[in-house]
Amino acid sequence: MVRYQRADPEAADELVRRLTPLLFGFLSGPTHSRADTEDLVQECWLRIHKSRHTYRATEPVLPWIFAIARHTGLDGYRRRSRVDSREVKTERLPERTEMPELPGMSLKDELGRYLDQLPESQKEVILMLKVTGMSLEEVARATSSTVGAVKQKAHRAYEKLRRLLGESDGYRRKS
Amino acid sequence: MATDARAKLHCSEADKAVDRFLDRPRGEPPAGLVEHVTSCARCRQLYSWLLGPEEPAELPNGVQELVSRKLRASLRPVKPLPSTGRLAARFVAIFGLFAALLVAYFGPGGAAQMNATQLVVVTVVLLAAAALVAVSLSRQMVPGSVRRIPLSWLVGAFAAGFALVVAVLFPWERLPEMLAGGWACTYHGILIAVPPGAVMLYFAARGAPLSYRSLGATVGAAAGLLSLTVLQFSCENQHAGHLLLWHGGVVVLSVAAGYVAGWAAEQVALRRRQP
Ligand SMILES: [Zn+2]
Repeated sequence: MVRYQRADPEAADELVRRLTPLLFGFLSGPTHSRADTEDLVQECWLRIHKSRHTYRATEPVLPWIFAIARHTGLDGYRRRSRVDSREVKTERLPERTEMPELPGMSLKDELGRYLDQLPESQKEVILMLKVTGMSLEEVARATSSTVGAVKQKAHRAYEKLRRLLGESDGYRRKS
Repeated sequence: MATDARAKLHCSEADKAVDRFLDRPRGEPPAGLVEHVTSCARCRQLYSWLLGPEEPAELPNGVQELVSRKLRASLRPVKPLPSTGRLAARFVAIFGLFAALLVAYFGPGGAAQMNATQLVVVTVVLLAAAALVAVSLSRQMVPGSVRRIPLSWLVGAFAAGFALVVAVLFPWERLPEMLAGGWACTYHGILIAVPPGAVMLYFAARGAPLSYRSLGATVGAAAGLLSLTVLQFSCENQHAGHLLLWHGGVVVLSVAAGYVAGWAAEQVALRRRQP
């Protein structure tokens, strides 16, 4: 990161290679298409690039990166909901609607569906903990929050996931 | 039946173990938990994704190359921002400079009215608040900064502290006296807040503030606090009601104005980025 600040092109490439998959994992969601995610990732990189002078060598990199990624995602969401509300009258269904449960659906897809039922702030914490491998302290930095608040969100999210899963199990047993 | 009960017990233990795992900083999940998760269908479904290694996301072709090319095209050396302490000191200096100039301009009529206790306590409270706002501004300039205490708590604590100090240390007037002539103070207070607010915004914008609303409200708080300080030392009406309503009102209004301005800036930015 410091070499990137000094305009070392190799360092920039290295960062892009290492972080782009993480950003993709974090910014992709079942409600947006792949093209949307691609746009978000590119926009996020431009923001990182413009903000690179605010990174300090004494601080951890990931919270800095994901604080920016989080806001890119939030803005993307706001922009989409604005476009959607304008387009709703004139045309088309959303590109992806809720998928029916298929027998071959992978564990990840299924969990993804449950994740989508969580409040945005809880989902974000779970995704950051998992996809980015950040610690609670780092997630707190990335979300401008306190460690206590992050912990609480993660616990609430897991309680809800457990409940959702319990419900779907009960349903399957009956049918 | 027995197996079922045992599995349940194990699952609830697994839930607790996952909670504990989340509490700890990064690391390997405990062996017992991994073992249970691999053998229990319910927990596998719930936790294997969380505990397992992260599979790298499938990248569409060319995205990394495209990003690399864009970054290389505008790669120039940048100078990292100074530390939070230094940035905060800069904001405190701006605050002190404006406060000194404005009090000198309006005259220290308020300071002359206060007794030693009032003067010391009020100065300490205002300085502490200025330092906190300066730290908050400095942190907002840098994405991913530590935040130990939520911003709203700080604002609440300051408001309560100031109100308490004023209510206890300053004499109360009757209602008609409190309402009379106070608007002039609020009006001047708001005018005073604009130039230092603009200067602080200019410095804050050298960082990479993520939330314009939050930044707007904080700059508003800093500028309002500056006005409050100037009014406190220059206004000759040192009654508790007047100080709280008409001087305190400046802070409330400037925070609100900053928030609204930040919101408007956010809308403009969103519209601009619209494809
Ligand atoms: Zn006054």
